[in-house]
Amino acid sequence: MQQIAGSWRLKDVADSGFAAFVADRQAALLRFAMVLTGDAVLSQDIVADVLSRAFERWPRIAQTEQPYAYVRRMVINEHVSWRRRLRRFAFGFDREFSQPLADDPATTHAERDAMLRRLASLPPKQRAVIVLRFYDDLPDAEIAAAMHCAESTVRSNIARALAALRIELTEPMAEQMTVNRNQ
Amino acid sequence: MPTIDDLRSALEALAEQAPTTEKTVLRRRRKHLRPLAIASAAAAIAAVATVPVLVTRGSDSTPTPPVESASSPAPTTVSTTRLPLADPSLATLSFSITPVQGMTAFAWETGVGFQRAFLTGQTFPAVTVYPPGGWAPTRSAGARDASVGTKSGFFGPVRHDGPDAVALTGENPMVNGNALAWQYAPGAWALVESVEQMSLQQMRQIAAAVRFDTKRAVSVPANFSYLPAGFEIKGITTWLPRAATTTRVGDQTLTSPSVGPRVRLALGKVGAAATTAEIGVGIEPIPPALGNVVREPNAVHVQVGDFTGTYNDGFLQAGNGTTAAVDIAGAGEHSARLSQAEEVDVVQALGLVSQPGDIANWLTVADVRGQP
Repeated sequence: MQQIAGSWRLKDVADSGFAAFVADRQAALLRFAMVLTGDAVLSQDIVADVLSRAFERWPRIAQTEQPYAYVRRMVINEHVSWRRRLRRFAFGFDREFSQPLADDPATTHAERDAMLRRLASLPPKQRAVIVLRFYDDLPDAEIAAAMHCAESTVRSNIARALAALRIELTEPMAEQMTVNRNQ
Repeated sequence: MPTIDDLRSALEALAEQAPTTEKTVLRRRRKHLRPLAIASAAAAIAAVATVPVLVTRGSDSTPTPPVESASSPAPTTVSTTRLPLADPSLATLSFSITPVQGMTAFAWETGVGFQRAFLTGQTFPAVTVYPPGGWAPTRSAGARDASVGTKSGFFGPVRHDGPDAVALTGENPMVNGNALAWQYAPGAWALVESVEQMSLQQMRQIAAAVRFDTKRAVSVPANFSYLPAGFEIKGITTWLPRAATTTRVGDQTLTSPSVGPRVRLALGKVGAAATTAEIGVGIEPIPPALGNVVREPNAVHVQVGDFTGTYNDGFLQAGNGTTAAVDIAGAGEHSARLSQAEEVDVVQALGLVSQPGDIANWLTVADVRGQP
């Protein structure tokens, strides 16, 4: 794969697999980013930015066992990084505003609206573990790998996030959380 | 009380609101004209030329160019006065930073009640300076005393509870970065922050490199002959030109071929809190080597607004054939947004300086006057 000044020749792209990856996975990444950020514009930005960087280093990413998991992790990193940096911008005009969720018939239910707002208020990494667990249905080990942390940290953060979300735990889950706290 | 199933349902509903892939391609440029972009402008422009092509090859649908090239009616309000600043301090940077640990400031921001510099480096450090009485950090039990020279302060992990609420704390294990706050003058605080962990010693060195004895006028690359009535400038962010860099963040390597100067203005309703600024105007001169990305100079490309906001962009030509990409985006509460027509007016009414890629040609904010 030839590189010129940091960019590939376009004629190489078709053979790289990156175009196919984008075609196959871009929509899924956008959905993941949307759930992660709660912001359609920000999710677009993050995915576009991540894909452009993934493109630059695609030969290495393509060699990983799970390129999608790798790029998804880039999305998480970018989200955490963006969130952290954006918080510093008192006039960050286009990120921190709550979405007019009530405009969407699918989200008019007050409880769901409240849930999404509480979700938006979570620290970015807590939100990420919640999304990975309850949207992507990943086990602790895979979440830990995606988040660069220990499985116990994943569990404790899920517990904290669920508490912040005021989720009523079923009995088995409550028991699991108790075990985790004791650990 | 909601259940896990309610949470799953809410997440699925949120996913349904995800933008389409086509919109992502159309909006590719947008992020790079906003504040905070760490990746370079040149990389952004290069990406405009490459990523959509990749998507085209990988999918059956061909991304369309921006939907409409609009000619706008004449602006309804012509400004012949100076730019409306929410605070006079927006026009002047009141501190500087000498190079430290191989890092230099690459972006500067003036906002209402604070000024900030962003430094190169893999930990994304930033220095924020507040005027006397403007802000004081909240200290929690986790923070420890730390001085900068003879000035007292404290150091610890940082937690952001809102745009203006920064707490130094040892209680939040989810936070990577930390901060050093010090009182550089009686009642006046400054803050060094990082996205990733930095030691107290590293932060002290950055803090010690801050100079409060210099002032520099903030400049912009254009005249504004139209700004929407009832809005004022709440913040200005300027990225200085810099050479190619490679930055490593965690396991990511960001390569920026080069960065041209660019500026972003945040507009908000007159008298409203700075945090409610909702309109951003970005101007990004395009290096001659990347001139092939320019399409339809002096046309404004209207993007269809959605519930998240509005967005228009275009390319403006100045003397000597130099060009800048311009975008204007609105977000936030519907009541405070500009109409698409107003956004187009703002973009079309900009008067680009000659050779806008050279920041020396920019106009100081205090001198900018509308050109009817």
